[in-house]
Amino acid sequence: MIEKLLVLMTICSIALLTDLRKLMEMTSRSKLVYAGIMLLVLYASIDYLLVQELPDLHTLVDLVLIAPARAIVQALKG
Amino acid sequence: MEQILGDCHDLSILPWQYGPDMSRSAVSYYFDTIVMNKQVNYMKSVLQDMVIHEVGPGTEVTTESIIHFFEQKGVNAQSAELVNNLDAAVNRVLDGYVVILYDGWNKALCFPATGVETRQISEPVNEAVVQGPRESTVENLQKNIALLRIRLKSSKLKLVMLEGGGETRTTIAYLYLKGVVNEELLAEFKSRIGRVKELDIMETSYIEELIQDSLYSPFPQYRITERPDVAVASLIDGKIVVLAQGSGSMLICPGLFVEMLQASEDYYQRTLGATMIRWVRIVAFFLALTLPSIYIALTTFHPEMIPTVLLLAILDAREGIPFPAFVEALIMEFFFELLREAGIRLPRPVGSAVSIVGALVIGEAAINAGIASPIMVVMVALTGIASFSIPQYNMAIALRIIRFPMMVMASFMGGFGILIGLLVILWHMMTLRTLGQNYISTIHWSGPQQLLNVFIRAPIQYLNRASQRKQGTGQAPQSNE
Amino acid sequence: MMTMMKGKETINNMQMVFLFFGYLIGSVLIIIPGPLVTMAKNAAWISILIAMAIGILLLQVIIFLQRKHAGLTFIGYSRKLVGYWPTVAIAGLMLTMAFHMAAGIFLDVAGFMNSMMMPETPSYVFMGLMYIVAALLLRSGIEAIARIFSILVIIMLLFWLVVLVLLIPSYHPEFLRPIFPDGYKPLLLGTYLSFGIPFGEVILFALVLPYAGIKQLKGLNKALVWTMIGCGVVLMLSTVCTIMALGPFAAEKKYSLFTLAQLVEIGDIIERIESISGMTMILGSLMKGTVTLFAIQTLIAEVFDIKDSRMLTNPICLLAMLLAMTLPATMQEWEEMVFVVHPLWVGVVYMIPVLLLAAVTLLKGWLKAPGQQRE
Repeated sequence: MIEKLLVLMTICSIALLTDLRKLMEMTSRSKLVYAGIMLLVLYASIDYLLVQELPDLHTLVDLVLIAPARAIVQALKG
Repeated sequence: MEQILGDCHDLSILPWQYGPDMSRSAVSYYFDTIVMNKQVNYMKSVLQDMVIHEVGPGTEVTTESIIHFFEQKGVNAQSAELVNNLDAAVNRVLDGYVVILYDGWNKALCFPATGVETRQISEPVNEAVVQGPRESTVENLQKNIALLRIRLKSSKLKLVMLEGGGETRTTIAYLYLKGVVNEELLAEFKSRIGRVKELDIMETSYIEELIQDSLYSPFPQYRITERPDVAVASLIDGKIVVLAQGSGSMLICPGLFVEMLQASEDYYQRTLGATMIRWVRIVAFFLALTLPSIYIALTTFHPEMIPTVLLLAILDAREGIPFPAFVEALIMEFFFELLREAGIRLPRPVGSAVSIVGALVIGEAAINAGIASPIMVVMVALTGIASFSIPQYNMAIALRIIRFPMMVMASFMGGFGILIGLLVILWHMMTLRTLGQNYISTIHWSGPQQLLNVFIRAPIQYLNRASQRKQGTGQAPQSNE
Repeated sequence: MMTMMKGKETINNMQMVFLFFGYLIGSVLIIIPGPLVTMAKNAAWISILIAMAIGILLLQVIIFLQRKHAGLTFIGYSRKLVGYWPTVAIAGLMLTMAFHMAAGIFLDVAGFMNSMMMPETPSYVFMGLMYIVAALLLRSGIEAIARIFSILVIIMLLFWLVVLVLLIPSYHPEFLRPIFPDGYKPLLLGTYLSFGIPFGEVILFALVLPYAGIKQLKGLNKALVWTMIGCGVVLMLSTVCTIMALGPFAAEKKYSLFTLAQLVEIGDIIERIESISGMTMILGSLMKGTVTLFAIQTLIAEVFDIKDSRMLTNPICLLAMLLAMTLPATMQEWEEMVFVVHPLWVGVVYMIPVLLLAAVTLLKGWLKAPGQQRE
C-alpha cells in the first residue's frame, strides 16, 4: 500500500511539476480539459490503490463487445 | 586627457612647439609599454611630410595648414586616423596608438604604433597530425587573420570586426565566405553576436557561451580549433569562423554532431585509411559513452550474455572486491578524472612523474589492495583512451559528463536502463539546435550525401562535385563537409 | 529546446515512412507470432498476408479522406461531414480503443521484461520510464518524433535481421507443411487476429496524416503502401522463421522472437543474445506507443479546440500509465482482451466510423456532381 502511494506520488509530481509553468499560462478551456483528464487520473489512482477492481474501461467493453467477440472466435475455431 | 589616464606611469606625454616662432603647441600621448617604435617621432614626421609635400619650411607650418592637410587627407607616409571626441581618443591611446592633440584643433591625430611581443607561430598543441600542415594560431588577431587570408585567397571571404564590451574591449572578428554561407545562418549569427558588447570577452569560449542555443546541454554546439587549415576548410563549407584578440582558439559556427567526430587529418590520408579510422572513432564514441555502463549492466544484471570463459575470468577477478560493480566503477572513474586534471596542471618537470605515478599507484596498487579488479581498470583505461581519440576536446568533456548518469541508470536497471539512457540522449541530440540548424539531421535517402561524409570519407572528387552542385544554388552544403 | 513551432509542422515523405513503419511494427514483434501460430497453425503467414491486404485498403480509405479534405484534420473534416456531436461520439469511441492501446503497449513491455529478463523489478518502473521517454518525445513535436524514429527503426530492423540471419543453420523448412492441417478456419482466425494487431490500427494514423504537406499526398500514398507491405513482409518472415525453427513448439512460446534469439549460438562467443532482441522489442513498442499517445493528444486537443496540444501530454501519459497499472484484473483476462476482443473492438470503433465518413464524403461528392464539375 505504501509502495503504491509512493509510486503514485512520484509520477503525479513529475507530471504536474514539469507542467507547472505552462499551467499558469493556459487558457481557461485548456485548464478545464486538463482538470478533466486529471479527474480520470484520480479515479484510476483510487482504482490502483484499492485492492478490489473498480469498474473501468474493460467493464464497459465487456458489456458491449465480449459476447459477439467470443462468438466470432468460437465460430472460427470450431 | 590626463585626468582620465592619470596614475599610469607608462603614459608618455610629450609637448611640442612648432610653427612660426614656436608659438603653436601640441601634445602627444602614448603608452610607453605598448608602442613599439619610439624612435619614430610622429610629430616630426608629420611636419616633415608636410614640408615635403605641401608647405614651406617647418617654421612656417601653422595649425591651419596641418588641419587642412589632414582633413583633406594628403599623401602621408604614415596612416593616420582622425578622432573627434575625448572618449575615442582615450580608447585609441589604450589601443596602443600615438595620439597627438593640437592646440586650436578639435580633432586628434592617431597613428597606430602597437608593438607587443607575441608568440611565434608554432605547432598546434592540442591538434597534432601525422601528416599535414603544422601551423597553429597565436594570440595576435592580425597574425591569425593573416594565416587565414593567405590560405583562402577569395574575394568572397568577408571579415567583420567588432569590439567586445566591458573593460577589456577585446577586438573580435568573424569571417565567412559570401555566397557559400547560408543566409539565414548568417542572419541568425549576426543577431546573436551583438551580445558580445555586453561583457568582457576574455577568450573565444566566452563568445561561444554567449551565442549558443542551449546553455545546459552537455554537448558543444560549436567547434574549436587552433589550426588555420581546419578553419579554412570549414569556411569553404559555409561555416562562420570567429576569432578574438588575445586568444589562439577559433570558433567554428555552427558545429554539427557529425563534425565533432571528424578530424582534418582525415583529408590528408587516403580514402580507405581515413574511412577505417573514422569507423574507429565512431566506435570510440560509443565506447567512451557506454563502456562502464555496459560493464556494470552485464556483471550485475545479465551475466549470461558474457561468453563463459570471459565470465569466469571476470568473476575470478572480482572475487574479494568489497564493492558492487557500480561503486567500483565510480571509484576508478573518479581516480581517472583526478589523474586527468592533475596531468594538465602539473608543471612540466613533474608531469611525466604523474603518468608513472598514475599508472603504477592507481592501477597496480589499487588492484593489489583489493579496491578494484583488473577488469575494471582495463575498462576505465579503455574508456579514457576512447575519449581521447575524439577530435573535439569539448565533445570528450560532454561524454565525461554523460557517462556518470549512464552508469547510474545501468546500475539501477541494467540493460533496460542503458536503453532508456541512450534514448534520452538521442532525444536530446535530435532536438538540440545549433544556430538554428538541427544538431543531427535526418537520414535522407534522396542521395548518398549523408553517407559521403559520415560513415566513409569519400574521395575528394566526389565531395567536390557535391559541393559544386550545392554552390550553384547559393546554399550551404548539408551538415557535412 | 522546447520552443513553440511557428505555424504547422510538416513532415516529409521519408519521415512519414519511418513514423508509419515504427507505428505498425511496434509491439507486434513481441506478441505475434506466438499466439498467431497458436490460432492459425501453419497458415499463420498467409493470414498475415490477407490482413495486410485489408490494411492496405483501409490505408487507401484514410488517404482518400485526407485528400478530399485537404488542409483539414481528422476532427476537422469529421465535423464538416457529420456535425459536431456525432464527431464527439466518434472521437469518444476511438479514444476508448486508443487508450486501451496506449496502456496495453507499455503493459506488454513490462510483462515481457518481467517474465523474460528482469523478474524482480516491479512493472511500474518499466512503464514509468517508458512513459517518461514517450512524454519527452511528444513534447518535442511530431517532426522531432519522426526524425528520432528514423534512427530507431533502422536499429530495430538491423537487430531483427541479425537474429534471423544468425539462425539460418537452425531452420527446418519441413515444419512449414502442411499449411492447412485443420481446414481453412484457422486461417480466418489468424486473419481476425492480424487485423486487430496491427493492420486495423492503421486507421489511427489518420490523425498524423494532416501533418504531411498537401501536395505530397499522392507520392505519400505509394510510400505508405510500400511501408505497409514492408511491415507485412517483416511479420511474415518472423512467423515463417519461427515455425521453421521451433516447429511444433512455436505455438507454445509466448514471446517467440525472443525465444528465437535465445537459440542463437555461434561458436562459443555469440550466444544468449536475446537481450538485444529484447531491446528491439522495447524500441518498437515505444515507437508505437508514442504515436498512439500522439493520436490521443491530437484527438482530445482538436475536439476541444485547444491550440497547443502539447500541454495535454503529461496528463495523458499519466492517465495511460495508471490505466496500464489498473486495467487488467488478471493475466487471463488481459489475454482474452487482446486476442479475442481487440480485433472486434478495432473494427467497431476504428473501421466503422472511418468507413462512415468516407461514405458520407462520397455521397456529398455525388450529390454535387450533377450541378457542378467534380474536382
